[in-house]
Amino acid sequence: MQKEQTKLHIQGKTIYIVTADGGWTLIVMPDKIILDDYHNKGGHIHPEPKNHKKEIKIKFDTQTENLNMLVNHINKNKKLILNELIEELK
Amino acid sequence: MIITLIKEQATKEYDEQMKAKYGSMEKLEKLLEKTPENTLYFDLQNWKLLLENPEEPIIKKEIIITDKISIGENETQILNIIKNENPKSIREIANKIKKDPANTTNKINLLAKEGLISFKKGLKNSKMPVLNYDKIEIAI
Repeated sequence: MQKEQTKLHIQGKTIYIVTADGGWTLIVMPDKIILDDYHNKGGHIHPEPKNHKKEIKIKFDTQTENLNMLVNHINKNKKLILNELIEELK
Repeated sequence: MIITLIKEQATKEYDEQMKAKYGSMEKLEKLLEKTPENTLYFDLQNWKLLLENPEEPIIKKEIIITDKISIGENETQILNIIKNENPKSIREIANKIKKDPANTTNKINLLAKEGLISFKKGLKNSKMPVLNYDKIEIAI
């Protein structure tokens, strides 16, 4: 797999996405919310910007599925509503 | 319109950028222990991920979704000139494409506003347009 680092600008947010053989991560700025599957352990969200140790398991493991859900959420709401996003991803 | 700006970066160059920012991976790990912030965790995870297969370059992309700009013949000419001829000012670009300077300035400023180009300080306080990517893909 190619190593990729992508910046996606959408509705005033910037989503930074990294993919490589060892997994993928993405962070939504300025909200500082992370979704990742580092070391292919399964998808999860880190919903607390000041505490990366807090993790919530999410239903999809792939970057594509999670990025689609995230982009659809931001486009629909024109912003990020964290509690709703978590419910959509779980 | 979806505009994707693409370039390659050597893994070694990325590694050196991260070392310039944090000193070393070990220092970032210690910093993360003290300050468990998501942004630090993100940087650390990515540093480890992207250092795998170090001989392979990193493909860097910037994706802009916009309906505020159209990339026509003039914009393509402007981008080509910026990328390949390193113009020192906006006026130089207008002269090269033989178009009205005010109109050219507006187009260049719009390209900058949408993130396709940036400016650095040129001679005598002029703005030097800069295109930091090797390829642009456009999807409608």
